[in-house]
Amino acid sequence: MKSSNLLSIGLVGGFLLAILFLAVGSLATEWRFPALLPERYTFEHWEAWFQKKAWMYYLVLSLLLSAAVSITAVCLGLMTASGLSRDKRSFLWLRLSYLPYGLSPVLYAYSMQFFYHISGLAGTWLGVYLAQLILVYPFAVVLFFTYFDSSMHHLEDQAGSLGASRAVVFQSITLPILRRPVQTILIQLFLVSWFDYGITSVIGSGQLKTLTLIVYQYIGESNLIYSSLASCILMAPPMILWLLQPSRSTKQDIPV
Amino acid sequence: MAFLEVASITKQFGNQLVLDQLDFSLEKKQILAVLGRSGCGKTTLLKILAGLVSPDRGSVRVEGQPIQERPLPERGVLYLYQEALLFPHLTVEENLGYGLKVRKQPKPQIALQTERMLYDLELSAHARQLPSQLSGGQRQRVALGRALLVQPRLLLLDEPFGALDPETRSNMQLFFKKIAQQYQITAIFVTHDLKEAVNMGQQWALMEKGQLTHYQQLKDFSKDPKTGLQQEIAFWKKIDHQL
Repeated sequence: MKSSNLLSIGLVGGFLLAILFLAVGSLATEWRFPALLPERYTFEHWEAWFQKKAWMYYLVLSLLLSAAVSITAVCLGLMTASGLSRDKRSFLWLRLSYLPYGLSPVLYAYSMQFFYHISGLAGTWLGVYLAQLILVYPFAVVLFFTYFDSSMHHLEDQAGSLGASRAVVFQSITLPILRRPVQTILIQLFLVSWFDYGITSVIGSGQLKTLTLIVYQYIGESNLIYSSLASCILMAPPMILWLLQPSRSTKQDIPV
Repeated sequence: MAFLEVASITKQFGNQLVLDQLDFSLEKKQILAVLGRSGCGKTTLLKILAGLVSPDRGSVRVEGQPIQERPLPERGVLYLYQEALLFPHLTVEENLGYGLKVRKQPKPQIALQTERMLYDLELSAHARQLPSQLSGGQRQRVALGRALLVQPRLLLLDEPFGALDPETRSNMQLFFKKIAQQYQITAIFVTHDLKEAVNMGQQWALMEKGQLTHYQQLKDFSKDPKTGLQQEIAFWKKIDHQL
């Protein structure tokens, strides 16, 4: 068997093992060390979870937040990268885009907390959305920047020479050519927002809870069953996105 | 008044003076072949004429009107690169019709003009193929046809056949001459290949160190030792004599 096949099997196997652990944990009644497996399995926890309407609220809130953050960041990042790539000092701008990553998200949130409190945004959906966006937006710029090379500029210029306005060039040339990177980066940014703990925790001030925060809460309470159960639900959207992700995420061939 | 008038164009990148007080003019339906070595400023000149680069000084007038202040889509000047730059997500016929589509021409008219152009380009069988499925020569033909369909006032060709193999390049030169005649093109054809410059031009120019020398007649071009044409002729005469 080829080493690449073995590696693929190893990666998938390791991932499935983690999912299996969470699934088993969510169905266990008692599972204490040193037992290798739970004594009994039940769906009662799942039934109880779904009977509570709150989970739906957290799920929808988390989905809306991550979707809004990733879509806004992709739109802004695409336009910013396109503009910056033509600037004489594009290299400097690109370096500046890395600045927010000098701080960890939680430190950044902590340092900004004061401003969110006095502006009344702390503990609100809008506040967490803005805080996540400020962190994710430069990430989008950095990712998109590499796609705006001289080949892309020449294609855009050619379309402009043929009579297309800047908006038409963007819509008819830039976006279709970058369709795959846009999809991939959208998914990546969605996941950054989806699994964020630091920013949501600090700026949300305990008043805004996402699924990720719920999982952390159960883990903090050493509640294996509910932390496993919430983790299973937390992993569902990323799994769906993984399945929907384009098989080839590199830039489409630009003929020369 | 000439169709194209370029006056005192100067361009400097950092400390390097690329174009130095460059002047020339071109009549309508004429092809000016500009010969020059790599790095002599040919591409910068074309990019300034196309509006892709701003000059530090000087003016460009087409039919007496300054075009520098006009937005790119309204200039009517089209720049063709060495690469065909076909839009990779569009088919051959969609690439050809792109300029007409963005100019909001009616669909039946686009279809009709595209079909005619495909016939002229001898590419009817490739209408629904993507650029990646074409050969280098075919891509260049599509790029040329796409440019011609929008009827540019001035066509700028920057070593358009430079990336092609010698046989395809020779075929494309013949093809371009035929199409240029058929569509009555006004063009500036830039090349570093002496033979290509002689073949493609109706007027000639030599570009050197940011300066352009314009020759109305081939004999004037030939007489100037800087063009290298006399040496080329002497070389082949010598070979012929030896044979």
